Amino acid sequence: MTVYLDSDFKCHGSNPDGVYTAVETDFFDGKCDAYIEGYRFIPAGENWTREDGAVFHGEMVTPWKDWQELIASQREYELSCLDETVVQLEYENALLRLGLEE
Amino acid sequence: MILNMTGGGVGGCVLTVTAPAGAVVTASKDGRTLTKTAVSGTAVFRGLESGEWVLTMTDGEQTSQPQIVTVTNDYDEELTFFAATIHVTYPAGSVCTASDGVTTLTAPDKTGTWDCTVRKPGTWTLHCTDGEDSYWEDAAVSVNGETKSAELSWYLFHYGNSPYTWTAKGLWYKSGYGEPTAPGTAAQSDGSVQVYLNRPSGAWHSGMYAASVDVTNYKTLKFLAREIDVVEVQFMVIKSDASNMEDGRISRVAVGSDTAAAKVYEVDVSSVTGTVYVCVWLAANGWATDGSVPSVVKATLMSVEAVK
Repeated sequence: MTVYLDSDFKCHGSNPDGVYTAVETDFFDGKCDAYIEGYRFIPAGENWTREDGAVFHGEMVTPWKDWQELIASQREYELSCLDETVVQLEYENALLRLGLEE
Repeated sequence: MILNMTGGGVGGCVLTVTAPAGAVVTASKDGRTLTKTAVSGTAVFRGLESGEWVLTMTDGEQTSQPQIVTVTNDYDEELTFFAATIHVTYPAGSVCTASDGVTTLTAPDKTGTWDCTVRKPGTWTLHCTDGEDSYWEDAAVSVNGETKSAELSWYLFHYGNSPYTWTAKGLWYKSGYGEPTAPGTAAQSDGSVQVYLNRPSGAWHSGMYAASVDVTNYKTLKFLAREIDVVEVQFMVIKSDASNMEDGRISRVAVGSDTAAAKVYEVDVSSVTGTVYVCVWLAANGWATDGSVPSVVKATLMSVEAVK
C-alpha cells in the first residue's frame, strides 16, 4: 500500500495538499489510518534524528505514538469490520429467507 | 591479604597480615615504615594508629602491588604476589562490582570506567546494576600482571552471554502463509550465534531467534550482526502473542545490501512498552531458484544492546 511521509517521516493515510512523499510498503497492510498515522517510516538512504540526538538510518519503521494506544485503535477497527460483516451477512440471510436476491 | 586489626586505643592497633611464609611485609603511613617477616605465614604489626596504611611484600625475587587498607576495625586479608587488572567499562551511573565468589570488589565511583585490580587468579564476575536493570559477564585472569578488558552494558545478548533466554521459534510470515519453521542455530567460536534457514523447494518458511524482553525502560535497540545472507533478514520487535509476523510486528530495521561485515542496526523503541519479542527474523522461500540466490538465509548475531 501507499503511505505518505511528512518532513518528520511521520506517516499519513492521504496526501491532501500534495506535499507529502509517497512510499510503497507492505508494513501497514490491513492496518487502519489511526494505526498508520502513529508510525514513522524512514526510507532506505534517509536518516532521522530523534530529539535526544540519536540518529537512525533507514529503512526503519517504528511507532512514534504509544504503541499500546495504536494497537487498541487497530483492534477497535477490526471489531468494527466484523460488525459490518455481521450486519451484511444478516441482511443477505434475510433476503434469502424472503426468497429475494440483492 | 588478611588483616586482623584490634584495639585502636592508647596502645594502637594490631595488624596481622597473612602472607607466604618467609615474605617480608612492609606497612607504611605518613613516612613511617614498619617491616616484619611472615615467619610462619603471618606478620604481626602492633601499635598502629588509625588511618590508611600501604602494604607491600617481597620474597627477594618479586614484590607485590601496593595495597591500601583503612584502619577502622579488625579484619583479615591475604597478601599475595598475584595482581591482574580488569579494565571495566559499564553504564555511567550504575554500581559495578567484581567477585570471584569469595571476594567482592566495588568500583570506587559511578563514572563508567574502572581499572579493577584483582589479587587472585580465576574467574571474576563483573556485575553492574542501576536498580532497574542488571548485567554481568565473566572475565578470567591467570597470569600475574595481565590486563583484561570487559565491557558491560544493558546487553540483551552479548556473544552468547545474556540475562534472557533466546530461542528459535517458527512464526508464520502471514496468517496461514507458508510454514512456521524454527531456524537452526550454530554457536560460533567468539560466542556469537549463526541463525539460519535453508531454502526449501516450495512454500515460504519463516521463523525467528528471539528473547522475551520488557522494553519499557529502553529507547533504542542496537543489533550487531555480520555475515547476513540474504536480505530476507530483519531485526524486529514483535508482539509477544503474535501468531504471524505481519500482524505482530511493531518495529523493525531492515538489512541493507552490505551484509558481510559486522554492522550495527538500530531501531527506535522509545514509544514501545511492555514485554515483546526482540528478534532476528528470517524468511526463506523456494521461488528464487535461479542459482543466483544463496541456498541458506542466515545471519550471525553478535550482540543486542538496549540503550536507555
